[in-house]
Amino acid sequence: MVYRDDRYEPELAKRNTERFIRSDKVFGLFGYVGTATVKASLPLINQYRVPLVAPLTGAQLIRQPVKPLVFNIRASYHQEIEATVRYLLRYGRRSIAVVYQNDAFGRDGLEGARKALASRRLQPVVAVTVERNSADTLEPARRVALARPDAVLIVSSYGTVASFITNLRRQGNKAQVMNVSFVGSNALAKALQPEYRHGVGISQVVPFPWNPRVPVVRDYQNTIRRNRSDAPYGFSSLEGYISATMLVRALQAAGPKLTREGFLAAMETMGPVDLGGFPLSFSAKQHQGSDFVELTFLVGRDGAFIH
Amino acid sequence: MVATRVLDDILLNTGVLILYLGFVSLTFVALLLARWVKARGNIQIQAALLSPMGSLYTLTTAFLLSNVIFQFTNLRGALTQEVVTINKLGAVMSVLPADQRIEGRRLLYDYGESIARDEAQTMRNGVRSEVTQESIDRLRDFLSTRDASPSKSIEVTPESVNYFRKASDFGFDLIDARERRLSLAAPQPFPVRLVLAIGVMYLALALLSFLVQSGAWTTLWVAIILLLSAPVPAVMLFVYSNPIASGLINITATLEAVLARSL
Repeated sequence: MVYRDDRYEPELAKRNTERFIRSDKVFGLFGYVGTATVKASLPLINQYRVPLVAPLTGAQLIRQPVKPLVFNIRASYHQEIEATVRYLLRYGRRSIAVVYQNDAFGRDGLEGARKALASRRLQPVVAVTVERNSADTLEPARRVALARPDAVLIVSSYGTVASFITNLRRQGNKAQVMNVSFVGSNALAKALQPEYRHGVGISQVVPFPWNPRVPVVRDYQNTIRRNRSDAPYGFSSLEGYISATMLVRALQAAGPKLTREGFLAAMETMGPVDLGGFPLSFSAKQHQGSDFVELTFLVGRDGAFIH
Repeated sequence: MVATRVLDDILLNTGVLILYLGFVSLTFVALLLARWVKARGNIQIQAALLSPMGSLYTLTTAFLLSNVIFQFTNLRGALTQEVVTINKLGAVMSVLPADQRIEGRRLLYDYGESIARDEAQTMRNGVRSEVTQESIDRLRDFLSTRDASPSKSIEVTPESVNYFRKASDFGFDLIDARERRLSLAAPQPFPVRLVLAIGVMYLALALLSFLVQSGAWTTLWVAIILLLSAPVPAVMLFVYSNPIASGLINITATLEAVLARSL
């Protein structure tokens, strides 16, 4: 396995991909993080026909239409946002603001929010942009606070989100804040000051990492304990574990004479797979394995989670 | 009334210091009295008298203290019961469908957080928190709706049976636990009579100690030993009468322990 850090920057991701394919001559790509980074790498993936498995993004652009070389483990952002909007409306929070990152990821989230609200004859009370990797969120927070929403749906990553929530709360706004899973749950909990942690919602695409009743979670916890007992449980690491487990199953299904085409065929034909309370299913027309979405909230000052 | 409340506030915030100053004054009074008595003529008091006097002092203060320690224990028990109820309710909600479960838990933990942040502070003045009241009202509203019911097709398991049996009690258990905590933690006025009783006994003990000793160096050490040990029951009486204000019971830390667990 070869790995490189693209710092969530599309240009760097593209350069890394080129080095992986041309210099390192990798068999496949795994676990790319972010919509913009995957989008920047897609032309090379298609050119060299290198499979990409389990990108950490729920963007529609790698789901619809189906990308033959890309296999998504996780549910889409649209599905996450649909679950979030359904929950908010069920409990009376009808006035929803959307804060989205000014890139493909954020625009995809905004599109998902508009779709979920439009199906209920609603629209966002305000839609405000924030820049990727930026803590400059005072003006966006002020605009959202002015709109007095019941809830704020944020589509961005943890640094920007933490800054936004802090600025929003300092203006006295107590709207329910909801995030998509890409925010980085544990990182967001750490980035937020203790007094702003309680009550922040995050939709998740993997089971609760502290619930050993789910067999795949129990396996995950046992693996951590066996190999590195000080690593905290978390959603991102569980997603990595599930994705890697699926990758191994697919490699085994592809047989001893491993080729890229054989691997792609194995992914599409291996049928439904249950990793232990987490079913996955791929086909030629469906390159997204899971539709699992669950809402969680941060509680207390230590940033524990409830689900 | 206002003057009494102001005086109570001052005494609550500076009570320990005032008590010690009071006992220092009593020690001084006993010393002066002993000197005056010795100056009036030869006085023969047996040192053996100190033992029964000390026992009388100990028994009296222990009796006075037992009452407040009993109340403190009750308050500690009420807080523990409240925490246990919150934990139980959070756990049994696992039988609910996803959206309902997360909303129920969110409301429950909001309630816990409001106790830790708001009511823990307002209780120091014997006032219940409106934020906490709103939280528990929202939780009660949820528990009284169909959202607090599992789906009809739920599998029969010990957990679901437990939920059906006990769910209706949980809301009331939470309210009961809160009311118990608030009533037991209501700040008590400064226990003047009890402290006075201890003060009188201390004065007698100090006077006797000074009368049976002689020499400036010995008298000084007798005074130091008395001041180190004898006021402790009065201080304990004061501290245990107001365990919240005096910091003996830390409600915030207790609730934070509940909120620190991922569920």
